[in-house]
Amino acid sequence: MEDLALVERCRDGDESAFAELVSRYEHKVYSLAFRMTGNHDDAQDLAQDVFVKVYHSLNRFRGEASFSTWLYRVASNVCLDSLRRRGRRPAVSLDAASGGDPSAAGDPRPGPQAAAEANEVQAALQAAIASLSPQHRAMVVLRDVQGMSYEEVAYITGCALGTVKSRLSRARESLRGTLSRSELFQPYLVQTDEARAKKGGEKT
Amino acid sequence: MNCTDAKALLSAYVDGWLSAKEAAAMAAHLLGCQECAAAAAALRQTAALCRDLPEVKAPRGFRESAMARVRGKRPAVSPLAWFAASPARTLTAIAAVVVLAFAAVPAALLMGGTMMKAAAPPVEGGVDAPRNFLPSGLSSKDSGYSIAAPDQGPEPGRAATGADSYPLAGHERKVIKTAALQLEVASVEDASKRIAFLAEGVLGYVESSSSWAGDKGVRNGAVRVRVPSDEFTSVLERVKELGKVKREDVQGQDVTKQVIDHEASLRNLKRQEERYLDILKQAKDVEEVMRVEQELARIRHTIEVTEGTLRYLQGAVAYSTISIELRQPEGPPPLLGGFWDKLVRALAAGVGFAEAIIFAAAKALPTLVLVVLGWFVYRRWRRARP
Repeated sequence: MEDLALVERCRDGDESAFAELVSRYEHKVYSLAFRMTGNHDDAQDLAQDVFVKVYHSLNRFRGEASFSTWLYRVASNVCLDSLRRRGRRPAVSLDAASGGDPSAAGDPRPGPQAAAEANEVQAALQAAIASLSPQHRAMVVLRDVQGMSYEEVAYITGCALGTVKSRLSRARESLRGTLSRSELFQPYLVQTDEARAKKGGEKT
Repeated sequence: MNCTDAKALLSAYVDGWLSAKEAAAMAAHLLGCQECAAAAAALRQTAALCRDLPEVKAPRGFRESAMARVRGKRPAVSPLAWFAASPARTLTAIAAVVVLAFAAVPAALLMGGTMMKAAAPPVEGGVDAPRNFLPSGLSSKDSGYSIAAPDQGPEPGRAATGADSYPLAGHERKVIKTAALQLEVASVEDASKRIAFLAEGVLGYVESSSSWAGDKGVRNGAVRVRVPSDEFTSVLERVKELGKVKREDVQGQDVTKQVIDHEASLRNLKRQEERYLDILKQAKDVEEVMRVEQELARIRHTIEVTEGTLRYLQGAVAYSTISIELRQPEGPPPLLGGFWDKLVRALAAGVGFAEAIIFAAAKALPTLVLVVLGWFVYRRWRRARP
């Protein structure tokens, strides 16, 4: 059944329809909350807040975007609000995340060493994302991690398309800066400026 | 375009989201500016790393507790209450996690999975992610790689077994992505120009391009572009926006195993080469030297062939191919195009008109001859009358 049909049924008071919507999007919303906050406790809280809020404001959804995009807009706002509030007190959970409990960020799947390495890299990447400012974080998470289009990002963050373009540029740049300082990422970032310059030098 | 302008638009450029004009200006700037070109490459890599982050699954019981909160219609917690409830909340959270763990571990063991599974990293992570939702309750077995458009069904050459699909790091999947499109466009020429712009905008290139007149004067064209595989989906989506998609075929060929095999045999061959070089140093007579050198030549040839194959594979993985067949809708072609196009069409129409007059004259000729004859006869008859 289409999302919109489910939304209609929710408006008519059908709770099971909303349960269906939750089950469709729980992982997406949770993932977004986790990437934005960097830890599972906050992610779970916030993701639930998102669904509660969505349920109570379904009447305000006018179908100007697809339901999923609208849902992400609510989710992104809830996360940003929470980050802003937290900004006024010591960011305990951020430090905890970058302190690096690798199993917190990835899935400790039993398997080859490569998977464990990947988890370490992913945890460090997550920590680097968490070190960005909330607004930059939203850009990177929505566009790069969740893979949304520019228009969707613009709608979700309420920014103009031009702002999205320039803000995403700055966000990626500062993420890149953080990553290049970490040894863990050297194998992934072989073509840094220096490496390029060196290559060029060898050729000539 | 100067560096300040370029910096602001670089991300959009890397994602193929600039207009054709802006993209062309940027491409020109990047050719001349090492620094910005390096920054573009850096942005692309950073974005690619983020794209490889897996989806984090909500823990078990998430849905139920979310629904419980929805049903309870508990008002959204105010910041003050949030602070006040903090220690209690922490305790509750710990208790909930413990309870969940006790409840979930046996279940997870039973199912042979783990409690919180990360989903497959969306390798392409393009603009179509919202269509990409994984159904909940997906087992880790199904979390293979999705490289083609999500509605393409299973990809050929992709091993869907869990053991074969551990992600990232040392064994990044090597996938050769190709797409074939058939597009109906208003103008073949215009569309192929735009496609070229799109490809060049992401540092891709046009491999071949041709156009010809088909039956009934319908213009046809074919364009093949190669684009960095990171940009495959975004370029494909934007190409599809240029016209009506008649046919679409997206394929992904997983060559990870071939690449690994070739790399292994290359290492092997190089070790052999070194061994023979050692032997060569210790050779005692000319005949021995000759034999070893013959062997060396053979090994070096194989090394070159293997290296060539690897280079080819890596190139094909790094650059995806998009082939687009273009055709204009049948019926009279719209009067688009430049002055010359219009002039040529007008001339063609003029020739047709002249032809029509000649044929009409030919048709009328027998009648005319009869009329003229009749007229002569009539005149004679009048004169013959007194």
